[in-house]
Order: sequence, then structure tokens, then C-alpha cells
Amino acid sequence: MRILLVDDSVRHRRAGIKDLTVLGHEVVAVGSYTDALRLAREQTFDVALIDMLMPAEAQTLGPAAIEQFLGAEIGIGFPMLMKLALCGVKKVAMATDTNHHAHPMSAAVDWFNGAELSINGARAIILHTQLRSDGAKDWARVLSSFD
Amino acid sequence: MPTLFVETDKYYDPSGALARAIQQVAFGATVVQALVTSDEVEADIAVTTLVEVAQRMIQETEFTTVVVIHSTERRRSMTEAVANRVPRILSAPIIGRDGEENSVLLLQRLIVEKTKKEEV
Repeated sequence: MRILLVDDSVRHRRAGIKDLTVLGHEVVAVGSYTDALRLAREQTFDVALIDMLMPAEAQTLGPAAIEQFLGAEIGIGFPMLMKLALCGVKKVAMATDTNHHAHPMSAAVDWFNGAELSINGARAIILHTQLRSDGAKDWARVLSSFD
Repeated sequence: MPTLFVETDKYYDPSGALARAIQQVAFGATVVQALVTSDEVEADIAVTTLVEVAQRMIQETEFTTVVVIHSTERRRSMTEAVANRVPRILSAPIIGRDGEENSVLLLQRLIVEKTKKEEV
């Protein structure tokens, strides 16, 4: 499958590329949600695996908003999940490794707890992810949630 | 010897003079042409003039310290706000106020610190 992997951590991206490629998938990994959405509009992906909390990007923000928000972690995974489904990706999983005691958005992931949703005909899953023994996100396990 | 990557923008460094000056002086660091090499070796220090570029550098690296040099008061408040939020981003004015650590002093300090870490 052709997989779009979106995570601001280069460590999690490298681990995901390695694990998913070993499984035979083609992986395009990016650290920016702006880049991810552009790629999803321009190319075809079978699956998107995305992070929940990512640093806010400049996009259309003015100077005052950049000062206030740029680099701050925001729960961009939720709208990104929906937008990727709208872009035609048929399986989208949003996974966070943030402890649900540590951030309100991670606590909100408990509401879904891996249940499968249907968004614009796409299968969508929102879940907490396990980490590999080296502390990197286990994206292969996230992908297996669709099985 | 720590490695140094420089990427300035065309608005605040239109002729590239700032980038060339930093690369020529380098303060004892080795100048590299890529932030991350093909075998995933990251530059120890990266220098830029835009916080937006600094953010991209942070996303592409795990360990690199990114220095953002600002040259206007408007950019100062924006840059300092982002630097306060993001651990690996440091900001410095191109020319500081009295007693303030400017970009030259910051880069010198960083390079000395990273050189000492290598020697330990």
C-alpha cells in the first residue's frame, strides 16, 4: 500500500519508514501538516497514518498570530483526519503517544479508544499508540488496527 | 569540531552577505552544506533568519540547535516568543542592545559549548 505518514518527530518518522517498508509498503513521510495536505491533494495514498499533536505552522497566520501560536503544539490531528478523508484517502488513523494525563487532547482520544468511524466513506481510527522498545512510535501496529 | 549549517532568506538577507559572513568566520565550527546528510547526520547548529524556516529545521532534525537571527523589533518579539516555546530554537538580534547577547556572541558561546561536549 502507499502510505502517507505524518509526524513532526523525525525519530517517529524514521522508525515508521523502517517498519512499514519492511512490511512491503511504500511510505511518504512528512513532518508538516501543510505538506501532508498538499501531498494528499496532489497524489494518491491508500492509507494515512498521522500524529495528533503537532506544532502550529505559519500558513495564513498574520504576525500577531505567529507570535502567539507558531510552534505551539495543537491537536491538528483531528481536522487533518477529516481533511485527508475528504481528499480520498480510504484509511486514516490518528495515533498519539502522549499520555492521556498529560494533555487534554490526548485525554479526548480516550473517547474513541480505537473505535472505527466512517468519514466521507473512509475508515478512520483514533487511538493511543504503543511505543517500540526504543521509544519510537509503533506505526506498524497502528496500521494493523485496520485488520 | 561542531558543524554549522546556514540558511538565510532573501528578504532579510537579500544579497546573502550575512550567510557568507557567518560561513567565513564560522567561529571555529565546520560549515556544512546540508542540514541533514543522506546518512542522517545532522548539523550541530543551524542558523536562519526566519522562524518559519527554523520550525522546518526542527521538524527535520532530532538534535540540531537552531539559531534565528532577527533584525527588526517586529521580528524580535515574534522570534523570541517562538524561541521561548520551542526548546531547540534560540533567538538573537543581529546587533543587540547594551549588554544583550547578540548573534555573534550567541554563536560563539554555542560553538564553544558543543566543542567542550565533544572533548568530554
